[in-house]
Amino acid sequence: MPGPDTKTVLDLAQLQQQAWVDEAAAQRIAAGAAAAIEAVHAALADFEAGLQGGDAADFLAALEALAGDEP
Amino acid sequence: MSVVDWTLTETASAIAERRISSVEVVAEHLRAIEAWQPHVNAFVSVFAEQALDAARRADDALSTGRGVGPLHGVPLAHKDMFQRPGRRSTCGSRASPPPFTASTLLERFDAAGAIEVGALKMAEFALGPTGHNAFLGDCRNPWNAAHVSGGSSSGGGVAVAARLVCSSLGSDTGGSVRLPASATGVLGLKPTNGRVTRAGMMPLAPSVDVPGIFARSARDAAVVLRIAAGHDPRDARSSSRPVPDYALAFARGIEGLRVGVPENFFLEDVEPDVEVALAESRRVLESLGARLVTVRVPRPEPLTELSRALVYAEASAVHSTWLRDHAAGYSPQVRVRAATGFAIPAPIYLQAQALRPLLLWRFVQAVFDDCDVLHLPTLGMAVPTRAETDVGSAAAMWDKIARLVRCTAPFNYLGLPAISVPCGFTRNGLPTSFQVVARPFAESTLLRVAHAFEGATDWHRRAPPLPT
Repeated sequence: MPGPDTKTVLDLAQLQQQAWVDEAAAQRIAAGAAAAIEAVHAALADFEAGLQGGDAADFLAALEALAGDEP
Repeated sequence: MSVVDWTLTETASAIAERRISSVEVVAEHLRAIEAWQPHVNAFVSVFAEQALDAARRADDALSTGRGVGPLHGVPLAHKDMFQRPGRRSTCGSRASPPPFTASTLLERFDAAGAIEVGALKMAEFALGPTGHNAFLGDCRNPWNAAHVSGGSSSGGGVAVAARLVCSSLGSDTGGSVRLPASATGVLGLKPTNGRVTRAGMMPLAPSVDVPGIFARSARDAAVVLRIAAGHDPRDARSSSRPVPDYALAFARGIEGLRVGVPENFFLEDVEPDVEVALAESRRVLESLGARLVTVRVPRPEPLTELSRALVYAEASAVHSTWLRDHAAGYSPQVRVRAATGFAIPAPIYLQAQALRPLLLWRFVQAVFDDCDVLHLPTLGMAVPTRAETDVGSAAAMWDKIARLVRCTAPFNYLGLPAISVPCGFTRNGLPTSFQVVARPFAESTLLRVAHAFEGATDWHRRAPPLPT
């Protein structure tokens, strides 16, 4: 499963000035992050490789474009 | 029938027509809150004196012929994360976060005449689907206090189910309105992402958060949504689409409506007595003229984790400085959830955002070309006990918690509107429900289905008895 190991999480926590993150917390953070990262890779695999763009504003535009008439 | 058993629309009509005073209505609800609170722990605080003062002013306004709004004199209470100037929301935490901007929704409800009788319990920083709260005490299910209330808007479902308020606002980032609604036997509506302003609502994951509504009937939810919906200049991601009168569509019924039944994923991990209630709800909808069609849902498996990629990353950004300085004020499990985004690379987060409209297009075209609404469980299992889902219990607890959001979180990622409608009870005596999902901004269709179902059943009228 792709994702950070515990040491990487501890380093990242230090970068974020999160001194409270210990080894046990880092293990759980790594597991949660790995599952989310894996899902992104899995979803990307459904689409042709290319340049990925888009932001949250595009999402609202997509929602509005897909609104239909009352059935 | 007691005053507290009236629906919101019945209560508002009775007050407006001066068949009862707002003071009487508010006083009755305050008495109910006093009786129930020791059993369910639904309120963080009760504003008894302020509410009665507001009720007197509401009655005075009526007696002098001044204009009244659609919620005039009606008692409500909301998840303790909608900011009112001069009052500090707990956000379910003892870390006492600083105030944020004033809530547009509270202002809209004030203008509609609503009376806020208290603030409701929630999971710590809205990070949990069960209703547990290590600091403020667990919110408990009014049907059986040994069972979870659902979360994170735990007090909303409990307060509406136990007839302590007529309706309530919560927030839904992974199921946080629909799950407690299902667990307590009331209606829970998560509108389309962007339909309702988030300004002044505690942020958990701003691109995923949606304010939601607890109500005892579809008609009540239609009234509340009409007030809540609409563009807000203080929320750049709120839609400018016009707001319809949602109840107008009720008269059309559901004759000919195509109700999609998913053949993959959503019905694969459902406990037998939940499936019995779901099947019966489909039969009722069919008897009302709906047409059941089988649909294949495109690749639903990664949607929940894709949602988590957004929620974790955004929650970590939201909490970063507060967590750095007040880590001891968080419970250990919530601290970890709020920090998981620190380990998600920025490109992964942006890819999860970039995929969102693509997957939405694919989902809507694949599903809603063949049906008008998708029918599925809200919660595929009987409401678990608090002990089964306590963070201190066995490793299986994490699996159980993950299963809670299996049928709800995908629609937060996709931003689609969804409604949870009570449809029976499981063998443990706790409520169960079905969920209906529709195209973006099709809330009126969802409410139409719920209203039609309510016309043929009485599950939404069941109330838990006050424990002796």
